[in-house]
Amino acid sequence: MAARKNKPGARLDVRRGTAVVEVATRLYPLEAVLGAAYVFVDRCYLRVERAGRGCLAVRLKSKEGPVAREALEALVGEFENELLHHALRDRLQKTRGRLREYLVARALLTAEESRVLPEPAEDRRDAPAAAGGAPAPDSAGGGDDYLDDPLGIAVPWEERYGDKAKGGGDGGG
Amino acid sequence: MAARTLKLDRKLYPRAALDEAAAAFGELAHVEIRVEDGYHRIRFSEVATAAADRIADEFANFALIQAVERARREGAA
Repeated sequence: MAARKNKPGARLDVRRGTAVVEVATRLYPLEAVLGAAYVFVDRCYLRVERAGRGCLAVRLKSKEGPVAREALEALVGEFENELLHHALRDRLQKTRGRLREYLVARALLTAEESRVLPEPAEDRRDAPAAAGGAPAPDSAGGGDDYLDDPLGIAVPWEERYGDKAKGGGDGGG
Repeated sequence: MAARTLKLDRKLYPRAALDEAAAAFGELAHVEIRVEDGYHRIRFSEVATAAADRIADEFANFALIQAVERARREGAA
């Protein structure tokens, strides 16, 4: 016969439908505790309190009122899982934060390097220069294919058909 | 019209979060926040009868949400 014991670090009050979970801040930082509590606000009334040095107490009170012991234990278990999840997420966030800074710095450095590289002469065409167009300021050099206009789409209508249209109009009138 | 009180730790619940909660609950009760030692002491008076049983719990939840969201905004900035 298994004796039913409260979870370690948790005190259950079945009659009132409350559980108090004590959390060591050395293992679970405040951000993780608050983040885990945040997940339960739709199901429970929560209160976070200090419970001695280096310890927080989270009081979970079911919004449904008194609940069965099993339900309360399940709630505590879910909360503890959520605590672990948030603690791990915070820790990874700190690690990834440094990695992200490195990646951004590396990307900026790469962009800067490609900007100073000489442009391949045969890739440049005369059309934009002839039309008076300058490379867009955000072009990083070498990637200016969008400036090519082999079909003459960017040539103004007046410039291309102006004389013909005039001639046609005169002849037709 | 009942009166209720609630104590929340100052280091866990920032004042700004409580002020936002007090503004949100202004229609249900008169909310007064005082600082006592390391606590915010929140007194609800003129509480609407329908809300009397739950106002402190709902207020604490609301303050918790504000505290977490505020911390996340500050962390993201």
